[in-house]
Amino acid sequence: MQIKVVANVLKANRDVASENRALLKELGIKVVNLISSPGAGKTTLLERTIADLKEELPLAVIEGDLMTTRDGERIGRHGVPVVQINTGGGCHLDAAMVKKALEELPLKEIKLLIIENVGNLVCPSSFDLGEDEKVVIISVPEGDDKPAKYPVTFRRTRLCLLNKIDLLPYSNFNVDNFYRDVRALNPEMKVLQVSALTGEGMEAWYNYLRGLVQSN
Amino acid sequence: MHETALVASILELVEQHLRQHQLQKLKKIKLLVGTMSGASPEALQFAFAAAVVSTPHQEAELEIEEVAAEAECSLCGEKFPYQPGTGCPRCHSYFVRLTRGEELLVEYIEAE
Repeated sequence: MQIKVVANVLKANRDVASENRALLKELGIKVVNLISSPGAGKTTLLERTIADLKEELPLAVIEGDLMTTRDGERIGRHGVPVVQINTGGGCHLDAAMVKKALEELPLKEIKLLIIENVGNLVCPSSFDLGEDEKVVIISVPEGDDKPAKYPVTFRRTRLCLLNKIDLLPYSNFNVDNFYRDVRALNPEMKVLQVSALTGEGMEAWYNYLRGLVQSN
Repeated sequence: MHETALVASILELVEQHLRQHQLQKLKKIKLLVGTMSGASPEALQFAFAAAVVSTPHQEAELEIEEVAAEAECSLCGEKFPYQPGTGCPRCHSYFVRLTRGEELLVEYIEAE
């Protein structure tokens, strides 16, 4: 016999994500889900962000990684609460992993939670974690064709950090082409040019985070 | 390759329905996959075959219907087939809303 189902495959994940979102909203915590390729500089950007903001903005970090605890250790050195999730080879974080990680964080003491997703520009955008904002990071050495190659992720995010802009003079990255492709996929996308290494442009990113934390 | 995780969710959903209707033998799963869903039909088939091997569902068929993306222009209301990176064919705006193509749905199952 045939049984009508008509159910979204991601519903189970979305249900848990909604629970996470409700809990974090109740506690007044804003959540950012950082998505990028491996090597785009997520952890370095996060380290600099923590060093510059931790005094004014109480924050915590959930680190997604395939195998190692290296990123978690790097973040932990900055003296902020961090939970490392090892996906054991899995290519993305899901809402249930984040729910478990939340139990280990001092939620009453923080205002901002930054989730560093597993380095991957495809899969993480399909899994709602309960975040307020997804932020995609692209780095100059990856090339200006990344938006066109990963349209689903670029349609599902509202902020893009273009990182490693200190390398622009040494690369054939075409900033105009990059902006053109981003706008064609998502005209509402905001792009901030930053270098987590030199600190250039980081203040705009901090202002974005400050604004997010103060928003209702 | 998040299709492995998607297949696990599909099989959970299927098991629920089999239990609910007290059915044993799964014959077919019909899945709708939008071209802007972020999932690849080929990878889903591969992950499904790997997931059901040596299980009671080994013989089951996974039928995937791809759903082409369609958009509606937020400015002029034009409806058109959507290709990533192309705007409205009428007013050339990129402010478009997807009306189809993000589906990732189990439509029905067949079982005995």
